[in-house]
Amino acid sequence: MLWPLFVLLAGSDEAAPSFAPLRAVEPWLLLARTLALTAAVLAVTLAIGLPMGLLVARTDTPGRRIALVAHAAPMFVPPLLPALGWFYLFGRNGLIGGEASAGLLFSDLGAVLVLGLTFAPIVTSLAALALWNVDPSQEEAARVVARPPRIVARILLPAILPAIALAAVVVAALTLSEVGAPMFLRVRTYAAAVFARLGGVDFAPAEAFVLLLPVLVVALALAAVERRSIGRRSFAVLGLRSFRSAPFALGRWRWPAAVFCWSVTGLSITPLLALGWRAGLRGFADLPLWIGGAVWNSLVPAAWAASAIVALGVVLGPLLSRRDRAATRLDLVALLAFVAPGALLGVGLAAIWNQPETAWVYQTSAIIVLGFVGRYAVVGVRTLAVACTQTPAQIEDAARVFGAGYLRTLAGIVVPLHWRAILGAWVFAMVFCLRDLETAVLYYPPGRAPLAVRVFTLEANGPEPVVAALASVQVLLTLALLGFALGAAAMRPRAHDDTSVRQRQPEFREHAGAL
Amino acid sequence: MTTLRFDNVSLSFGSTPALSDLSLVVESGEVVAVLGPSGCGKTSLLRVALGLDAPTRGTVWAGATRLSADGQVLVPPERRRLAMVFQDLALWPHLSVEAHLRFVLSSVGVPKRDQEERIIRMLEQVELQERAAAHPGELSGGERQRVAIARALVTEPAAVLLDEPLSNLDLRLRRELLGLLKGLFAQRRMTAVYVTHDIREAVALGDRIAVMNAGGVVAVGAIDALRGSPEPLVRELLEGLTWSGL
Amino acid sequence: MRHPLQMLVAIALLVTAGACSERPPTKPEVVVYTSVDQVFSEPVFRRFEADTGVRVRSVFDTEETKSTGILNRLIAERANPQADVFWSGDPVRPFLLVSRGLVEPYTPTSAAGIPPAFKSAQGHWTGSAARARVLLVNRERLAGRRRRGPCAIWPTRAGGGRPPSPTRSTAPRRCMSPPGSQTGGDAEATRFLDALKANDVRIASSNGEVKRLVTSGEVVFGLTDTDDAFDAVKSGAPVDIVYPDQDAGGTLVMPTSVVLIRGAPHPEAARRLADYLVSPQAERMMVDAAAHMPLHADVATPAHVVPVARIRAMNIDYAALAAVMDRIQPQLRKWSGL
Repeated sequence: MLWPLFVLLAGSDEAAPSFAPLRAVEPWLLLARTLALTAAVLAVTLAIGLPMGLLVARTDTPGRRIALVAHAAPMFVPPLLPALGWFYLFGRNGLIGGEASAGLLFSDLGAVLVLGLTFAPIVTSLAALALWNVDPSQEEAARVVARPPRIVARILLPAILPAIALAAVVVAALTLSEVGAPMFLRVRTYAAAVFARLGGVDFAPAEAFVLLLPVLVVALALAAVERRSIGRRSFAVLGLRSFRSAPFALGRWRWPAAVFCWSVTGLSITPLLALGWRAGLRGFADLPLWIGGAVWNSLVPAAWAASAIVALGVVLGPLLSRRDRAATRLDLVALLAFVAPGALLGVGLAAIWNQPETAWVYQTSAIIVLGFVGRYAVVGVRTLAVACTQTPAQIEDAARVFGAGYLRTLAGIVVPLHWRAILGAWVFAMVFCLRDLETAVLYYPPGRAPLAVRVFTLEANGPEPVVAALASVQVLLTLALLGFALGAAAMRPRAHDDTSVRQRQPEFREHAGAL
Repeated sequence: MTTLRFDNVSLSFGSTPALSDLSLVVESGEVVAVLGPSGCGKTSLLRVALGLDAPTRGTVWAGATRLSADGQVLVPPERRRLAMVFQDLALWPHLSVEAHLRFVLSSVGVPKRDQEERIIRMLEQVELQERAAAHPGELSGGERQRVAIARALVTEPAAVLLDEPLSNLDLRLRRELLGLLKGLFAQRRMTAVYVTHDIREAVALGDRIAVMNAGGVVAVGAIDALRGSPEPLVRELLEGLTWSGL
Repeated sequence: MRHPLQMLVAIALLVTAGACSERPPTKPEVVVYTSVDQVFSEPVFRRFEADTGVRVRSVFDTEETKSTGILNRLIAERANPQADVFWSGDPVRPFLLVSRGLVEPYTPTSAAGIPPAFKSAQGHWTGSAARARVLLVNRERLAGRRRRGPCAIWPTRAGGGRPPSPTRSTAPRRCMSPPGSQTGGDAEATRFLDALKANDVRIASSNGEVKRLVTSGEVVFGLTDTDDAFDAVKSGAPVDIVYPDQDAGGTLVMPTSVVLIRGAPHPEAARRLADYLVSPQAERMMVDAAAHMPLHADVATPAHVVPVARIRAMNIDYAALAAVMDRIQPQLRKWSGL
């Protein structure tokens, strides 16, 4: 992943990369503004996600499971889609919109709220996952002496602090690198500026790279936070234990809690429903004319990339779970690639692969696959690392001691043992590739634009119902994939999954915590 | 069967030493019980023997073959023809008892037609014929222990290493399995290293006993020879033997 | 790490091989990059495919990259061109390719009917359906401010502008084109732009955004292109289109322009597509779908579309404009922020 960036720097027209862009005050102001935006988005996600996580994981709020699933939906689609959905509702000519609502939507506050609502489920899911895993004995010991609010504040929240920090890192990374939604909402962000720099009339990759340096510093800081304070514990906190203690009975607070929980859920799915509403019959009727091969163009590279990402995860995950030094370094690079603006990675890849000898890569979807693998490898590696951390290292050692070589150990032990985690990682990686916009948009092969890119390129002047219908297809595609995965994960575990060596965790559910 | 030799082996993790200048020879067909308090480096000794860790200094030999030397694993674990019974067994939860044996036999290249016979014989020896199709999650503690032992012995390894395999069992089961192991070792003239912190197990199984402390071997010999050792740790361990009335 | 390393290499090879195993094209194809809006250009390509049997593989631009992402891609790919044809939304940017020697001269067979002002004598580019730079005015927002008028934001009035004769005017009476680099020199242009910025002007990121800003009433009027303006009118928003400076220097007209790429992989198909894009048939499609102004005299226009011949077009040297654009990029970027 460093290679494309290096090529950008070395192979550009400019004689020597100039640091001039960083001497101007504008980029720094923009960076400060973007960091402020990120902090605000983070605040919104925590304000929504933490109470939601507590309610769905540890209380008897009615319908909490369904609420969680519905609430989680927007985090799996490009944030541009919820932004479009809100626009169809609150834009000046929207369903319930007016001048004031449009003004609010197309403002910093609007972007913060849209991104906050879109990313809040990340905090909710990671917090819920961690809460399910707090050792029940800790909580039971506290229940003897303390009332629930105190237990939450003094026992549960501190216990899941690593998961909260992890969620915060993911949200910050996604907000920092997001391009589509801020551009649509006309909010200037650093990643959008780098994107525009690569798309702007005076094509200057080296300059874009220089502009990237401050982002890399921020990304390194995020990675450091993740490593130093939460890295070790985050793995441990995300596994699922085999039993849980009973949820807190909310008593008279049960219905107010339900109102909160379901209001948040409603807010989460409203923009997605709005897409369907705006599309209407006309939008869907016109779909065949406009959708082209977009679904296929999305699914095929995403499936290849997800498979490669999982394969990488199967190789690197076990090593990472044992803190192998080389794997740890690769993981750091993967994390940086995930946080860095995707457009830059894309242009770097194009610079490397557009040679006559490698046209077979550049002219095909392979180039998109490569970009996806580079950007989202961290998803597979982390998911498998989490899964491997849940099983004793001796399980693999034993295979090697008894004569099984590396491949045999992988095929005979690691893969069958962690098949749920592998399936989870695959789906999770696939979802990330499907929701990708900024990596592929600048270099997708002619005629092979993925669906998310098509929504983005048609959005400017395309007929709204059609754009909304295309966006709805993207949402449905992702939800179908997740539904398939949930179904597979819910398959009854066979007897052998029940063992003495802590193998009872339904590993699939760890995928959400993998990052 | 082969001789296993450790020449001046040291192992450290950062600044923490696990083994320091340890030397020990396990003769072919001999069972050496390695005895010592928790944290004295017993498990590290086995991991070095297996090639799961490389010794920081020193050499590990199997017969005339150098297995590891000075920070390098020269023969990877899967080619050492050693077997191991792990402390918490490390059974593979997704494989049945029979599949465990089949997996290791295939791994060491035993042809398919011979596998069947060896599996049946091994399962008979550990009295698990009836449980061949069961997965580890469906077995009792004693049965799991037998699977681990069967898995270690079915490939007829050059030497077998056992890491406190009976430590979590009740007295009755322990006696029963000690008898089983003793019989199997004698019958197959196994080279074995049996790590334990229980002197009674060491005496029951070991031809010789190596007493470890702080990463090194402080005394080695048959139980009668050890009785005269001036080493305080040896005397302390032998007291345990007196209490138990052996 | 030895085995994992081998494994990583194997994964990389396998994935690349798998992803590349796409079938080779069974019928002739042509690769076109276009900064003409996808919603308008794609139907033209589809019609071309249906008419000729040549498969069109296209790359579209996004409004948000200011319609230049494609241009950059063309430049970035210069060592190994992937595109056969560049259908540009304007006649200026092709010159950035011309100056880099990336253009293969070609005069489409259908170019005879195009006025000389809208094509290159050397065959570097050929114009087709055009847009004009117009003012999109929000009628409702303007209602309360008629006396002041949107032109009040123009900081200076260089040259005595006469009221424009807008096609559907409830609109400004005293608009005039800003003094540009071509007429007043860089210094004056910079002064003008700075004064504009200081005068409560919002800088939009794209024409589409201008359309949204005006239709939503966030601003009273904006400078945009006829296709976006027409789209706004069609949406039923309370907006009008004004062609500025009809009595002065004329309105800036920007034909879409067709350029062939040197060293392209499918030169024959490229020429066929170029012929088609410049043809009256393609222009007609652009007129109907995107309210573009036809350059061929014989293409009929609906009532709301004004043919190029009926407005006063700014007399402009697109090549010179391209050179200026290239030169003033740093200042423009500074002006717009980053």
